[in-house]
This record gives sequence, structure tokens and C-alpha cells, in this order.
Amino acid sequence: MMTKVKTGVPGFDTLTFGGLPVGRSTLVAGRSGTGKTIFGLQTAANFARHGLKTIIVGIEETAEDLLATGDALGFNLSGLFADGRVHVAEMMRPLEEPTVVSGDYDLFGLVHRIEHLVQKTGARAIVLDSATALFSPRPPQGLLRNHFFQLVHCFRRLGLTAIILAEAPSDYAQLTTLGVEDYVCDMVVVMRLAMDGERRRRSIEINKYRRSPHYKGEFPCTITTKGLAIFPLDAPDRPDSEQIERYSSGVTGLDEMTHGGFLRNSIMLVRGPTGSGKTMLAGVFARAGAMRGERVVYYGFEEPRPTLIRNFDEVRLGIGELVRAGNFKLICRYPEATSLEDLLVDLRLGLEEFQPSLVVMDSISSIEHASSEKGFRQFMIGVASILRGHGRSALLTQTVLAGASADHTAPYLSTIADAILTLDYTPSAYDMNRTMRVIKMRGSAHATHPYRLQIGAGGLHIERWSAAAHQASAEAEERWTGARS
Amino acid sequence: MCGYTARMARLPGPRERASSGTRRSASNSVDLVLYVSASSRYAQSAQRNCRTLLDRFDRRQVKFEVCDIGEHPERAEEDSVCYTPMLVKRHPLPRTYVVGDLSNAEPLVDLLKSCGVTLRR
Repeated sequence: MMTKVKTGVPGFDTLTFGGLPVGRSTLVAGRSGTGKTIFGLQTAANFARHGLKTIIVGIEETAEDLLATGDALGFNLSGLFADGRVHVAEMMRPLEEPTVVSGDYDLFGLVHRIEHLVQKTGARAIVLDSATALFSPRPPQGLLRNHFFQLVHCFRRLGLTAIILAEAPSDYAQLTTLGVEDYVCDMVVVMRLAMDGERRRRSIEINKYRRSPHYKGEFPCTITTKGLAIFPLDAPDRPDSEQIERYSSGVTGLDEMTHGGFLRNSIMLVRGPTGSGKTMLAGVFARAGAMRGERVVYYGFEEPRPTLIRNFDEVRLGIGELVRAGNFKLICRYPEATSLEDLLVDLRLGLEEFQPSLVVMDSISSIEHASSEKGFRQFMIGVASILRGHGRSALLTQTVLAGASADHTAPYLSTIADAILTLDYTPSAYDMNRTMRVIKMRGSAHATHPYRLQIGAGGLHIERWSAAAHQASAEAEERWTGARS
Repeated sequence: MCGYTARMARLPGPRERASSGTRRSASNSVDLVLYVSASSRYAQSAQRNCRTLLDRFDRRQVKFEVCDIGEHPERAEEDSVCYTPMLVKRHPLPRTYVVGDLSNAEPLVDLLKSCGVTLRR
């Protein structure tokens, strides 16, 4: 059985089912700027904090620069360095000085120095930043392979858990510039910062993990003020709660439609065209939660905060008062203004800090419009992961074309949502009939016929649209059009 | 490996080396250190090649020592040596590096000539 050690990099240990292989070498490849050094420093700091002394070998940067980079991201590398828990070895540019080649050579100089350091410090892990700089200028390919093998063999012999960083020439073609490193490493991690439409998208991929299962494919990641964070896209399963807990949606008619209200720990998706009452429903839902004393976060992605509060006040929801009371947080942002990864991090940090039990996002379509299809898909899966990871209930709204509520094509959204409600309206010459249906609701029976929805003082009024009422409406319509012709 | 130990034992300490360096800086003598590793397959050939080469020159103008990094890793630190064999010209400055087993004699010959070391008569 292979032993692993956790990196402490959020999400990474999920992707790798437990972290890095102990006593083995892991290659982290990526173009410049993809976050390799941050990954290395963050892991080194976490190792050190958990009693695993780590050597950081800096070839490209001075010890001072490396420590400063770590400190800026809150890893407290300087502190760990001062305590002797992290050792930084500068091995700047080994062949950079006026150096002439006079025949064959090998890497034993470095090998002995590392042996010496390990003896002196008792280190059990090492971060090499980077192999590319170490082998620069680059020796002939055969020699290079030999040297790299010597290095990895040395780490192995010393029982070091090693992270070897290596430059890649591009995001998707060749794995590393040197082209020799992956064969001898037990794990290969690829970091990318690829263009996706008009935005750059960071991702990380476990390319290989000898003798261990791992998540396959690219996963979104981001670099925040606290370092690297990865979104494994599916959250660890929460223990099944034995009892189904229900709570009110905030609208009597909707509770009736759902046979007793929404289910706890589920994600509701409300689909409907512009003007069908999605934002109003979201507001009423959030308000009801806050009135019960729950902590609620409302993300408005469509209008500025004062406008939103004013619109809610129009129907006397009194959101402003709830915000002042402290358990209702209203956050308005434009998704265009930031990258989706950053938005995801903001969401995560915000939720961790505020600890809400209800979350509203109105609407996810404004995010969809501000990103590529792939980017949006990753974002939504990330959002679902964040929400489920904390066992929260959420209501998300989505704008679709009138009449298209039921057949919107984004299959993953249907998978993410535990319940799908559709809003729609039939504009007619005489009136506008707003209707609502429950399309699906996991774990609960629900009404299958449409309900009628009206917006007015106090928010929403939803009532069963009886056959008689439907008939009356149709007759009124007929009378109206008949009278005009 | 043991071959170098006797030589290493005669090496002056860092302080001593520094002062002797200052003293020699007034003279024309060249200060060379050949870093090798007993684990390296090039250790023997590098020393042999180096000695043969130096013998073509007036040895009074050259101070030459061999350092086994396996025995004295802290010395490799001083000259930031990662590769072996590595010949370092410590004096006169600037420090110059010749990496490899010196099977190609030219770089070292050029280096010595450029420092004004004369050929043996």
C-alpha cells in the first residue's frame, strides 16, 4: 500500500485521493505563470506546518524572493524558515557564469549538496524550482535524461517526497520543455492558463499517478490572495440525512405545489423568460428564510444593489431592513467584471465566512453570457460542489426564452439541480398569464399541472390554476378579441 | 575516493584560503580548484586530464587542488557547483568555470594562457 501525504492545497488532495506519494517524485509541469512555484511553496509550507521538514531549492529565484512570494500569499514561509522548518537553498544558475564545456559531466555536485542538506536539516521533502533552470543551458538529450535520472534517484535514495517543477513550452502540446522528466516521476501534474474565448482559464490536471487512482481531466483552479485553490467539481458525499426536512418556499401556493415546501440541502433551479417573476420569487424565498432567522446570502448578478432593494421595496418585501438586521447579505456583482474562477473563490470564501443556510443566485444566465460554454459548465459544477460541500439550500434562477423553459439544453444543469421550477407567461391581447410548474423534484411528489402566479404587494401570489379559472381566462380573452374585431 | 583524502587534509580552512587569496592577488599565480565526486565516473579521467595538461605549463604559476564534493559538500556550496567534474578558476577574478572531464583540452589551455601562465620550457 502506497503512503500519501496531503499537500493542503484546497482541492488537490481530493483529485489525488490523498495527496503526493511519500518518498517519490512528483513532476509539476506548466508554462510560465501557471502557478507552479505557488503550488510548490504552498505545499512546502503545509508540509512544514505538519512536521515534515522541507527544503526548497531555488534555481531561478533567490531565497529572499521565494520567501517573499510565499509570505505575500499568507504561507508564512519566512516564519517557517526562521523556525528551521523550511530550508531554502539557493542554487542559482549553475551554468550561467562564464562556463565552458570541456567534456562529459554529471550532476553529483548537486547530489552531494542535497545529501549534505538533508543530513544537516533532517528534511524529508524537497521542492525543486525548477528542473528547467537547473538544466540550463541544456545538455544533449541523452546526457540530460541521465542527469535527471540521477537527481530523481538521489531524492528516492534519501527518502524525500519531491516536487519537481518544470517549464512547459505550451499548454497542450509537449509536456515539458526538456521532455525527459515525466518518465521517472511517479506523478505528473500539468498546470495550464489557456485562452478560452476572451478570458484566460486556469486549470490543473493529474496526468499520471503511478499505482494510484486519481481524477482524470482538467479541473478549474485559481490563484487567490491565499494561494492556489482547485475545484474538484464534485463534492465529497455528505452523510445521508435520515429525515427529510422541509421548509417553506415563502409562498403558500408554491408550498402546496411541492407538497409541503422545499427540501433542505437541495438546489432549486428556477427557469423562465424575462418578466416571468424569477427575481421576485428569489426575493420572496430569501426574505422568508431571513424572517425565520436563517442566514441568507443573495447574489444579484443583474442589477445594482440600490435598484434591487428598491424593486423589492415596491412590493413591500422590506429587504433593506433585513439587510440591516444582519442575517441577510445582499451582494450585487457584474460577472463580466471578473474571471469565473475568481468569482467562484469569492463565493467559497464568502460562504465560509458568513455561513448561510440559504443561498440565492439571480441569475446564472448573466454568468453564462459572460463566459464560454466550457467555462460556464465548470463554473456551475464548481458552484454545485461548493453548495453541496456545505449542505446548503440554494435557489438559482436562469433566463430562458419564453415557451422554452422546459427544454433548455444544458443537461448538466438538470443534473445539478435537485428541483426544477419553470415560470412562463402567455402574452395575449387582453392579459398576461403568468404560470408556474414543477418540472422535477428529487425526493418528493409534486403537482404536475400549472399554477398561476401574480405579482403584487407582499411579493408573489401563487394559486392553482383550476380548469374553471383557465376556462374563464380563455373566455375573457375571446370576448376581448371579439369586441375589438 | 581515498585518493583525494590525503590532499584534502592539507587544504587550508576557509579563513586561511581567503587570506591566502588576498596575498596571491598581487602575484600572477592562478588558483584552480577541480571539484569531483568519487561517485562520478568522470572523477579519475578529469584529474588525469587536468594534471597532464597542467604539466605543459609552468607549475609555479598555478595553484591547483582537487576537492571531493562528497567529502566536502560545503565547499561546493561556496562555488555553487552543481555539476561534476567542475574546474573553477578562483583567482584571478572573474571566477571562471570549466565543466566536464577536460577530455577537450582547449578550454583550460585557453584559460591558462589568458591568465598569462607560461608554457614549460
